Amino acid sequence: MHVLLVEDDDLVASGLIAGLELHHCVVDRVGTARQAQAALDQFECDVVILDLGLPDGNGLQVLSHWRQQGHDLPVLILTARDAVHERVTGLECGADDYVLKPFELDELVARLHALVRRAAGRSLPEISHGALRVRPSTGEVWLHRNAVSLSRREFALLEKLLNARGRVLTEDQLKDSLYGMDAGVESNALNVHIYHLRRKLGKELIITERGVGYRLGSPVSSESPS
Amino acid sequence: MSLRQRLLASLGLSFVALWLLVAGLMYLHLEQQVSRTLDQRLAASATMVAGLIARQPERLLASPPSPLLVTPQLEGVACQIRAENGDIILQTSGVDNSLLTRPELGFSTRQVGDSSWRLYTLRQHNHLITTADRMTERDNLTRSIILVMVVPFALALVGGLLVLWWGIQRGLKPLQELDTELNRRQPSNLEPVTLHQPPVELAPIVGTLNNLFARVRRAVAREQRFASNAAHEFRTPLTGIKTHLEVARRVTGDRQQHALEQAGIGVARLQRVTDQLLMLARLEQGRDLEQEQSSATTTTIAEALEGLAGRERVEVQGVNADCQVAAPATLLAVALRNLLENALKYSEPESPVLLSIERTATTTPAQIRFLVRDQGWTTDASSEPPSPANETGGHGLGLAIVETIASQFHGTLTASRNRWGGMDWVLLLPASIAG
Repeated sequence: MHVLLVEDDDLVASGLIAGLELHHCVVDRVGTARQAQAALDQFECDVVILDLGLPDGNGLQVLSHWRQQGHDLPVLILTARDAVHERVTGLECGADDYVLKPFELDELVARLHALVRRAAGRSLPEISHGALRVRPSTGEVWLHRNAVSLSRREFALLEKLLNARGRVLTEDQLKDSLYGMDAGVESNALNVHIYHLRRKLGKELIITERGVGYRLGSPVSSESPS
Repeated sequence: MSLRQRLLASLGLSFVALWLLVAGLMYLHLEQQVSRTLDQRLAASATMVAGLIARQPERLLASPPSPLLVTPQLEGVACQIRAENGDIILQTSGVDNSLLTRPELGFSTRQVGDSSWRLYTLRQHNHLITTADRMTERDNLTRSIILVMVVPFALALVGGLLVLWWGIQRGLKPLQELDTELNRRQPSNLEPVTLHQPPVELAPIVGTLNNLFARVRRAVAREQRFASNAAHEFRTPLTGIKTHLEVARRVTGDRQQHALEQAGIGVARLQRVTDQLLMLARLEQGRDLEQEQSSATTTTIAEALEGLAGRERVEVQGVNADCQVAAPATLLAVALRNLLENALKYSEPESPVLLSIERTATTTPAQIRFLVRDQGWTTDASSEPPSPANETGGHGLGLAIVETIASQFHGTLTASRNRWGGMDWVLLLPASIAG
């Protein structure tokens, strides 16, 4: 899961990034309203965690701006302000969830996964694709009921392809889900992760659409391999 | 007892008592006047008879030896003409003889049988002329006259009372409206009271009430903002601590060490917020204020800048050893540091923050003016200029402390948007007499 974290407080942001990475999330952080408004024009993400009190503006203005621009990705407001009218205003401005500081890390991650799941049109916490089962909230993957160990970026790549449901994703979209704003990524890093995923889960899992990108392959047969 | 009942009782009773007193006096006066008028009529009748005799005395001399009896047209009246020797020359019929025998000259009252009579006797040459009215008729006449007076009087009294009741009802209607409005409203409702066409006398009350409501509304809003800011400033480091500790529990080695260090930074921040809150509480209660009421700006600014994150962005101007402020050095340093932290946080990371100090001699006493100026953000997302009470202005507790310090030491804190899109915070404090 690729998370955009909009949080001006360094202490809270560093704790959140560390905690979310433990849950196999790829996190990009910005600290001002201006950076937040620009972030979604630069890369794609699955979900946004938005703080309201930003030094150069209000998070709600950023949210309204995104919604006006047509960004419909799930947004979770994370704030220390607990007045009912503030919560109501936040939800009315287009937020999908509202969590108060301080929070339980596991609960926050569960809420983020629920938001992404609903945005992808799924109702179950597990994604099944033939013999492949993936539980995004814990980062667990099973193939033919055998647990498969994936790195954080491999898992993020797999989750992105599964949520796309066969839709072709460009290389840039996939890189965004892996590295976000990290411009220093090597050009063949994506190919390396795809290679590892194919090796661990089968060549048919990811189909290359030449000149366009990649998409999820047909479901792997649920029967155990011979 | 309600005001309306009190007014109705006092005015109504006074009204009735006054009218009854007037009625009593009128009754007495009228009775005397009627009696006097009837007496005058009696005397006039006797005089008229005397005039007739004087014109034609020969007709009386030619009268027969027996008295001439005449029948009056009205009952209860009598008349007698008597000669000097006691012979009755003329008399009305149907009158008891004892009524008119040996009459006294002038007015007199005589009881005959069951009836009482009023007599008037006049001497005319050699004749005594007596006229008489029966008192029963006179009393009936008096009663009729008084009755004629009483009916309109009573109607006027009842009408007056009704008008009084209506006037009081109508006059007190705005008060009743105010009473209903205040009784109907919820305790949490602090909206202004609105009356339909309030009288001039009620305008100060309604105005005072509405001013009070407005002050309470502002105070409640300020308290809510402050509570919200305080909650924000406690919860933010608490969130950092909690998240880093959760991470520390799940990782090992350097990552665990780093998470614990971050949690430690959070604890230090939390401690600072707590200290600030306690300081604010002490300042608001006026306790523990330092006795030393003068501080040199040079040392105070050095103290404010010491260890300040972003110190390199602060440009100080106008520091003068002669500038002495009539406030304790420690508190002044806290105030300046809070303003600088606020300016550093709410402006571009690389932009300068100006701190200038100036002595203004135009006021009495002289004041020291501290200006903290930031340049805001290149693209300003916020449109409303912040105020000390506005959360977008930054550190809620910090600015609240600066405001409290300013008010405790007879100074002011003001904020305005400057031409660079940032904020100018001006702290004015009196210069110390020594300075």
